[in-house]
Amino acid sequence: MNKILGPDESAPIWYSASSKRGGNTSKVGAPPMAEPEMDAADITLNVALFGYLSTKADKDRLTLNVPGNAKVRDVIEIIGDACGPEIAATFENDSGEFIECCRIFVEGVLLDDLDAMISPNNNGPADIEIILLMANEAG
Amino acid sequence: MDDVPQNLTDAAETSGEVDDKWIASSCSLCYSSCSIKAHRVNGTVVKIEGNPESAVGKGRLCGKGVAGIMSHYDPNRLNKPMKRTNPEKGKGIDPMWEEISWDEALDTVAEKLKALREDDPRKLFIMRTTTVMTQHIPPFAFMSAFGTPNASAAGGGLHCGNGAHLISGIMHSSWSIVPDFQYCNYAVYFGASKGHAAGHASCSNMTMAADARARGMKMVVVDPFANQAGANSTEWVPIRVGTDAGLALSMANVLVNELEMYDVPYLKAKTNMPYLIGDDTRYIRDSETNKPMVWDSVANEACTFDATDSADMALEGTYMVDGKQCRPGFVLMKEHLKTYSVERGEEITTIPAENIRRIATEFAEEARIGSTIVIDGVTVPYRPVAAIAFRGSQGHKNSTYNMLSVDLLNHLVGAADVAGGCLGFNPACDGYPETGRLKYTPHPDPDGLMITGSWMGPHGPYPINDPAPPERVGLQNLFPMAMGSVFQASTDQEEMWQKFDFDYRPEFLLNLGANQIMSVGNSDAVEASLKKFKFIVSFDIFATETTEFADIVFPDCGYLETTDSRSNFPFIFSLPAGLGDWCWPIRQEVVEPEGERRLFADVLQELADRIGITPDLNASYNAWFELEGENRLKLDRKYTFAEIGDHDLKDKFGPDKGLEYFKEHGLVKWPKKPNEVYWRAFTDVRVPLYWEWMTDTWEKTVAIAGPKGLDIPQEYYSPLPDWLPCPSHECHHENFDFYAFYYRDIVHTNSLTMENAWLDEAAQLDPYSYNIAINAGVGREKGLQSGDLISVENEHGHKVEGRARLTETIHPEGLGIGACAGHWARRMPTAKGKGVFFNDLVELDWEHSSPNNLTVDLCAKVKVTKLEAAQCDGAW
Repeated sequence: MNKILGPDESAPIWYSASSKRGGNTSKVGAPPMAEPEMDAADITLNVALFGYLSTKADKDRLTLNVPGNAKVRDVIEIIGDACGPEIAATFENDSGEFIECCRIFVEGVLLDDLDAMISPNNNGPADIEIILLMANEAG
Repeated sequence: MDDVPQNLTDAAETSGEVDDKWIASSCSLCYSSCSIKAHRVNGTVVKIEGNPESAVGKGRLCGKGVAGIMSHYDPNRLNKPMKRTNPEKGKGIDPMWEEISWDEALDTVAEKLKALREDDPRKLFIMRTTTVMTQHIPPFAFMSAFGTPNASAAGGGLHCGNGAHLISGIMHSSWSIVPDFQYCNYAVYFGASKGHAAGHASCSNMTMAADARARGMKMVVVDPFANQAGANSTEWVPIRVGTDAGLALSMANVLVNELEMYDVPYLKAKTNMPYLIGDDTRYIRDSETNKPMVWDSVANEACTFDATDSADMALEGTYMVDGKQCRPGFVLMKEHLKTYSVERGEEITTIPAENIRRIATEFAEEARIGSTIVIDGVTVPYRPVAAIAFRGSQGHKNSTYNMLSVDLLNHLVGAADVAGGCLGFNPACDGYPETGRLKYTPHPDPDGLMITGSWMGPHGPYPINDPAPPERVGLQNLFPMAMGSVFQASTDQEEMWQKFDFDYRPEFLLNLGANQIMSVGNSDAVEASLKKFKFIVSFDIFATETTEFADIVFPDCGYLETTDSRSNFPFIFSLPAGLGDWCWPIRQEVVEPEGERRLFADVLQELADRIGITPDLNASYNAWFELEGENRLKLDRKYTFAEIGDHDLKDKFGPDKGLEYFKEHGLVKWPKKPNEVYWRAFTDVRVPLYWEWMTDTWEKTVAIAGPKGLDIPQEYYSPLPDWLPCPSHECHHENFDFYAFYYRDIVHTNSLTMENAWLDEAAQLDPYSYNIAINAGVGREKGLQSGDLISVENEHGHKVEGRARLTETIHPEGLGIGACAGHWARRMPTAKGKGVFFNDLVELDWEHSSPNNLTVDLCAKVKVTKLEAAQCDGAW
């Protein structure tokens, strides 16, 4: 097998960028988040729904309370519960994963890490904005 | 001021004021958006050149870009809003336009859109063009704000993109692929013209490709027609239309099974070839973590792919894991490729078997597998070969596998995103040094496979969504590998919507510069689909054939009247690959809009305001542009698009580099680093040469489509690529002797430039642009000569007419028609009646489309009939 014409000098480069990552118990992807200090008190969320979500939910603003240690994924689930199964279904695919075209901003910051903690500014209500980005193609 | 006409300088001197300025901006005569400098004298654009400061175009500008001045000053441009007074709609029917005020036009459209959104926002269908890339974000931002999932990009997206972008995205984390011109020594082009006519980074690539050829890069062009790339090639390999996968797989078989020359460390470390595959075609997965498993040949046991060094992974053998027999994906690949002998390759492609073997051998030897090179002090793998493909390969029913088969060649020799190899367009960026923004890089999914770091839309090409009952009118929910869809205008769209119990129909078409009746397929089918809309609004610069169906027309600004914070979205779309500079140029207004023209993006903002969705639109822009902090748009304020651009620029480059800075300087650039350009060696991601998900995708699609009576052929969902025939290959009617295809003409950009007087003049001088290319020997056998008027008819009775042009540079079975010509619009006199309208030969239905990505098959088996002898042979 493999009758290449010269010495294989590139093999170490390929292998070094593909190091083993800890076996069958390791997690692939982002490193685990450090647990921040938490205020266990509930957080009030002012949630703004835009575009498709607001038309589906037939509302564009809602106020919710979530536990103080809530993560983004918890908030999405709570919003889904509050808006009904049709909205909840738009947040995730059939495999239960958060769909990529959903954009969630917490206090104006785009969050794509579902394990990020919700931390409101100034201990007040947290402003949440959610929109589904619609697009399919280009050329 | 040598290029300033005397009358202009005279006028300036008389007035005592001289406005004489070169303004940095961006071209829009094709989607490459090359950087330009426009010379304005006393309010008139007198010349356009390439901007040498920019990496986008590298100071060069093609004839189309230079001729942009003629499109700008065309007296047939739209200048005022209009409404139709003729209720009857149809191909060639006079709309009987009546000019109206902007207020009347906006009120009319806003009222209908508001009612539509309250009824069902899905009834809005947004059609845009891919030709002008700045038109990418505003329509999608409006679409997201309005809440409709229905949009398309007419022919641009459907013809060029589905397979090409899918494969480039999954395999190179990029929108497209190109040879690393600076280091490549041997490039094989399959139905692509990168660097030789059109396409991404057009003028940059022309420069780089020319330099590469002068340096000695051998260019093998596999194409039924030796026009642009073929004419500049070292070797032209004529191929039967639509058989690229047959050639590529035969070459791969030579590499793997005859020569046994492939990059083992690359396959182990950078692909899923070591992953163990069970008899059910699926990965063997760890029961605890669900991760794919490999065989550790040192420990002699199975483990998850991330539990052992890649060097220890087996590529060969048969194993038992958890009671299941399994083999590494590479074993299956090798066995599969054995079915593609060079003799079979010849049978499929008409390319002699020995030529296939020779080209494959040259490719393997030139790859220098195992070699490295030091660039700017960084050692990277060196593989100076590339196999690239684009529209010619992907525009077929077998779109996905054609593209995947060609790219397989790169991966077998480790020539993916390394020095000299096949590059994506800048898939990894360490970010703008002063702000850290624009940082992205490919990263792995839980299976270790690559997810793109940057993409055109919110959903990247991988992972593939699960098929779902369709809600979008193009059925893309059911066919998740599709981007554009044939069902936007197919003859069977209503049948499909009924099959899948659609509870709505699209009613309102918002057309943004697209000319879909010419660009999608045969005009009968598209006409029927257009007539189903209850209301059509068109933003356009000319009253095109599609705009003639509109109820309201908004006169749009041209590119010389437009300010945009980006010339591309994402900014790398037409930034050349390889070493050089990162570069972010803007487009800016060179002259004020003439007449009552208004920028479409500003009109969309005005409509949003009148509908009451300004907060939604601003939230949408915040998300699309990923604006942060104080650069986010306030939700309740109405912005101009230029103001939004100012936010975008400050967000990416800092508070001192807003729109005013860019207007003065035109661009920002900073140097690329070798680890960014040749990122694959430094990034822990793998690519799938074995598409394990295909079995699941097929089963889930069948589960939905089967009960509805739609048959999903399994051969299009195999984990390993195959050559599968086009419908044209299965047409055996008597006298249907030619495979008709179209190609991107070098003189024109699709249908966009047909009205341009200078380009029309050039096209008339070109022997092929407006004529039908037929092989000289075959043509003479059939009694044809250049200049004969001929009819070209497909097996479904669709016909086009044009003048034959006999040439030795086309495959004997081929029949080539250039560009997207043959206009009939009454307000486009330069374009009207010029050239041949190929797309009338394209059937638009499920039968003629890819069952996995919905690409329309763009070739047709045709019969040629001589209608009239050449009148003046001497002119030919």
